[in-house]
Amino acid sequence: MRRILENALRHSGLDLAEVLHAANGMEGLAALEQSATENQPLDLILCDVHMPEMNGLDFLLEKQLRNLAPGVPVVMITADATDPQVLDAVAAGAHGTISKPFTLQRIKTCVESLLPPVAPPPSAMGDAQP
Amino acid sequence: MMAGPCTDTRWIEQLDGVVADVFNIMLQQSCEVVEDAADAAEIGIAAKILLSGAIEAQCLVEFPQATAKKLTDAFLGSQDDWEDALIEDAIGELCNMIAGGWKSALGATASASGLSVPAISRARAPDRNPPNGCGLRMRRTYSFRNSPFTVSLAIREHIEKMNQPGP
Repeated sequence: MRRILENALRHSGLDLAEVLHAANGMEGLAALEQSATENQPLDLILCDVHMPEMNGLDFLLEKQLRNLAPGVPVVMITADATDPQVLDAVAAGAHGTISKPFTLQRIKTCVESLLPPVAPPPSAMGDAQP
Repeated sequence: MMAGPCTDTRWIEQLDGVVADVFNIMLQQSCEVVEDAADAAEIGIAAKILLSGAIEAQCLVEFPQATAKKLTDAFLGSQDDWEDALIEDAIGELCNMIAGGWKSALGATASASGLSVPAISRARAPDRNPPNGCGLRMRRTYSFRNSPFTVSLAIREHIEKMNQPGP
C-alpha cells in the first residue's frame, strides 16, 4: 500500500520532499527511532490499520509509549470503515482517518490540513513587507 | 445447507458494485463484468482475505500475470517492469479494498468481524476451498483494460438470512 499511497500523494500535487516506508508496525517504530537518532523530524505519519506482525493501532500505542515522534500527526488508513480499531485509534490520538478506496482529492485535503504550513519563499516574504 | 454457486442477484449485484467502486474511486477507471466467462487459463497471482467473527467469509481475487501488471501500472500511475513484491502488494491491496468494501456494505452486523491481512499465492491453481460452512459462493469475472480477473466470495450460510442485501 505504501508505494501506491506515495504515488497518489505525488499525483495529487503535493510536494513531497522525502517519504520513509515501513512494511508493518515494527518497521514503522524502527523508522521513527532512526529519524529521532538522526534528528530528522517527520511532518506526518500515514498508517494502515491492517498490517502484518504489528497492526496500526498497536503501532500507535507503542509509538506513544516510547514517546516517538511526539506531536507528529498520525492518519489511519483502512479498507474496513466499520473496524472498531479505527475508532480505538482515534481515541488513542490519531488525527484522522482515510477510507480505502480514496480519491486523490480526499487524501490531498486530509494531508494538506495536517502538514505544517510552508514558509513562503524569500521574495514573497519581501513582497509582503510594507 | 445451500451448495453451489449463488444465484441471488442481490448478492451478485452487491459484489459487482463494490468492485466497480474500487476501480472508479481509486483508479478513476472502469472494470466490466464478463458474463459466462470461462476460467482464465492462467492464474499468476492470487490474494485471499478471511473475514472472521460474527460473520465468516473468504474473499479471493485471482489475476493472470498480464492483468496484474496492468493493475499495478494503474495503481502506481506509470508503466514499468515492476518487481514481484510490488505487484503482489497491488493485488493484496485490491483484495483488501474489495473485502473491506463488501464488509462495510453488510452494515452493522459485520462490524463485529475482522479482516485478515491478505495472503498472497503464486500458483497455477490457488487453493479456492473456503472455510468450513461457507455454503454461499459467488465467483465473478471482470475485465480491466481488456484483461480478465476473478473475484470469489464464500460466505457462511447463516448470514444469508441475517444480512440480505437491500432491494
